[in-house]
Amino acid sequence: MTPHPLTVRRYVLTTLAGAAAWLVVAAVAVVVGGRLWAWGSAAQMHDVLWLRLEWVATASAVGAALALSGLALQALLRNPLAEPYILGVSGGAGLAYILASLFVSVVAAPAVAVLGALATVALVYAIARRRGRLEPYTLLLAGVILNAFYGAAIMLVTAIVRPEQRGDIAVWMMGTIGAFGPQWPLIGAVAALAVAGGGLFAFLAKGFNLVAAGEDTAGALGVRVERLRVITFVAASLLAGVSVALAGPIGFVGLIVPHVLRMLIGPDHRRLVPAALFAGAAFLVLADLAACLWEGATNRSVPVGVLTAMCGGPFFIYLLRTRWRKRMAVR
Amino acid sequence: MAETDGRAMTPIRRDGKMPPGDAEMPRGGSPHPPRNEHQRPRRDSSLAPLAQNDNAKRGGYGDPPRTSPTDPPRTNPPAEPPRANAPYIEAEGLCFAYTAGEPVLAGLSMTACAGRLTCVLGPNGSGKTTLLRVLARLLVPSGGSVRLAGRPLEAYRRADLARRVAYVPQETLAGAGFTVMETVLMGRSPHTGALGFESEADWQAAESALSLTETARFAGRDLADLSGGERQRVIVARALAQDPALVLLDEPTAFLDIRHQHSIYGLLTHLVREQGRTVIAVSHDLNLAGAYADDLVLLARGAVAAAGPPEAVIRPEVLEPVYETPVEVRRDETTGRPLVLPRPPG
Amino acid sequence: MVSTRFHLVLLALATAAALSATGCGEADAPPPAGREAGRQPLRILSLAPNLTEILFAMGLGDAVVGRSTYCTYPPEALAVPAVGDTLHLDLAGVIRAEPTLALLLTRRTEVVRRLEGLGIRVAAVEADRMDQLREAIRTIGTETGRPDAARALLAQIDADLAAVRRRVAGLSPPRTLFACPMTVGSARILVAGRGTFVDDLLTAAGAENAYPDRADWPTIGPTRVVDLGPDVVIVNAATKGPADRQDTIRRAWNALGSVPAVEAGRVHILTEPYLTIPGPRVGRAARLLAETIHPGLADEEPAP
Repeated sequence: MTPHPLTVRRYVLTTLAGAAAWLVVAAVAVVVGGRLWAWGSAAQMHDVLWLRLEWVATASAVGAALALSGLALQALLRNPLAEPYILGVSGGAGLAYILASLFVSVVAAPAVAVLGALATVALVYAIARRRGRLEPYTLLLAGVILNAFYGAAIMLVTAIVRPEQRGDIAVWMMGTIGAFGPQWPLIGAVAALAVAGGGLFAFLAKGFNLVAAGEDTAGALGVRVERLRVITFVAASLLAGVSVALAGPIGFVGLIVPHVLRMLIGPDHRRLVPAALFAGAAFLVLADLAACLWEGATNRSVPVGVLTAMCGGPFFIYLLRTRWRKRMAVR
Repeated sequence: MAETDGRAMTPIRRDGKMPPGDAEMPRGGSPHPPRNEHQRPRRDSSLAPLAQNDNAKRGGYGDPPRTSPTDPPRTNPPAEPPRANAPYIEAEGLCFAYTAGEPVLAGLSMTACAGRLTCVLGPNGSGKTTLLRVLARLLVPSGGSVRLAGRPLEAYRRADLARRVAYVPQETLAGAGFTVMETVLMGRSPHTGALGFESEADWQAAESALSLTETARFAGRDLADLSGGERQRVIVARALAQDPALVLLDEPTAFLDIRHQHSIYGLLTHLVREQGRTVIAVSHDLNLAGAYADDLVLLARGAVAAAGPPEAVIRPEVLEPVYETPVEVRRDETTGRPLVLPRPPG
Repeated sequence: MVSTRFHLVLLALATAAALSATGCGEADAPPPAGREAGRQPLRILSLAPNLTEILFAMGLGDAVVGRSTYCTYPPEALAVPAVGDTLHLDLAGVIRAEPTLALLLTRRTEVVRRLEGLGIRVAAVEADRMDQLREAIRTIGTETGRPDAARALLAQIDADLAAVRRRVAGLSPPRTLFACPMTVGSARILVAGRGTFVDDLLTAAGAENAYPDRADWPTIGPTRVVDLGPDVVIVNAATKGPADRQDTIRRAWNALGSVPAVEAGRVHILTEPYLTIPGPRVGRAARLLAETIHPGLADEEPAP
């Protein structure tokens, strides 16, 4: 929507500005969320500082990964309701994580969750591939099928475990930031994947713009549509999978952040990709800060996924009233 | 009954290929092959000045009209500019089927030459759109081959192909919220880098494409807010911005009023005459195609039924078996081009 | 003769009437199970683990004809058929067991209604707290007609607790946090707030609950733990999990270096499940907690 050409200089400047904004938000979240000024002893402040750093790093990595994944899937599936878990990844990673935590190994649970995500990717690919092509419609259907299956499987696990474990499963499925026990290697991996994903999607951004105008148009303008679809699908699913392995299935970040950015910046994916990286991180950091402040005020812990879900309802109302009024013209 | 002109009729070859050399055409790449005056529209072949006169009269257009016809800057001239009237794209024996057992193209062979406007005609389901998609390499034929500037189509990398060939589809999705300017700039994407940054030259190309299709005043508006016809012209502008050597258009005037229909075909004529590009346009409108085309290709059931200049193809004995409806062909007194008047029975 | 046949018919009718008066549908005569003198035999359906423990501790184990799936202690209880749990009751199993009395915790009122609808006498008790436990034992004694067994059990429990209290009397109570870690993910822990059963145990074991508020098992995060700064931490990882769960828990706690318990190495991981079950093993629970919280205690001779 801006008439300015996208030059290298403008791109670099806006990316740096986005990074700076995220850093400011993160720093505020660390200090304010942990009330760093209020601790009596240095050892306590040190502990809380590292806890906050870990939590803000988790929120940033997961928020960035989910926002990028949601943006890519909305472009791939040409569907404004697409979000990172629409292709069954949260179910696959979640079921694997739950089973591993309960029965196999607590330490390996995140790795098993990623394996579950990859298995889901392979399954969706196998189901959705028709005549050698991946089409948005069949991808969506395959995702619906797998989500139904995984939902049933998780329900089964919930039904057969002991009562005290049921509650733990339910709480984990809401999605929480922060853990007892440092997870720096896992956080680092997710952050690295988020940045790598951002870089990959930056190179695919031109293609995302073009496929929005139609598959034939994109192909004629030099986009290898099939290759774009496969790469996007795998990368977006992997980002969603590692996010679930780290923080559980936090919902609505991958849906809301891309849409809000589109309202602010426009539909051009070349601008949206770097924005999604930093805005997604900042959004989840702020949500986590809100959860932290709530916990401090009421002595009741609320998972971050609950807060993001509470944003979902009003957001959908907004979407309904603005976007759907625009004609989705297909001549 | 069509009155033949004084020129010897070019024999129609069943396989649709043009004869290797029209004896009357000069060699040497002159952009203006001599033609019988009757075949030429009496107006100027380049429509741009006419459009500007309209602009000046009408006023209120966003951009001030330019005083001379502006062509998109040749930012990427093809390595070997195609010789006028030399075949630029040749299809041989194309076979294609979307579902097994139902062939849409069955042994189709045709040629389009540089500097000439070729129109593809045919009844519904005769494979016109499929032919264009095969030529644009959006579909891979199961049999036959396509050669572009002498090289097989599959030898081109997709990016190279996108710099040479522009495809204007019949339908376009417009829900994403892109403005007209952004849409036309998408046409520059084969020329921009990996991250898609645009240069000043890209912007100029887009702007001149907009003015050529008379859509400059929509530049800031959302594509979805335009009418069907306006959107169609923007899509043509996008193809122009691509600076292609070959333009493939699938019914570019389907939703346009008569003024814009002739404006677009005039623009296509300008592209072939003034800029030496190759244009293949699918059309449903026999008269429009007959009025502007240099060559016509008539398809029937996935193969070429007739090919040649309009007066050779637009004849009752050629059209009636293909369209399965009686027609009468007259000659337009003013332009000398054939006119088709359907005479449905009863 | 007519009169003999007539008398035989009258006898048959009278017998049928007498039989039907004693109740219908009892095809098999159930073996006598209750020790209730002079009344119908006692057949108890126990739907909570601690209630089952209480019944067996009162010597009523033979009267238990149905249990919930989670009633796994004492081992003799495993021989009793399981009829699901209060969330999903196996009604066919309940009917097969033919209980005359059902014992459950009052949190499940809809189950109460369903069982009463089957014609079973229901005694709903509360047993979440120490004082409620005493009341529950007395109620069970009344309902089963064994008040003396109930009194005996109560006396034993009181004696156990008194013994523990004697041993820790005079020792300064450390600030102790009793935590239950989550089994899936490790984002938060559940801790015993003031006023819970475990809180009573901690008091009996000579400790002060580091969590200062009255709350029913609140969920807290590591920041709050740093804020509370307990001197001793008891982690009750009772549910059986993967082999590396305890290591993970220990590593997680060791990361909070500013907590006095971590600094002093006073983070204890206990896996006994009866620490959170208000039942006859209360005494054992208190003793275990006391010995864990006050390290020197285990070496002393236990008081008689």
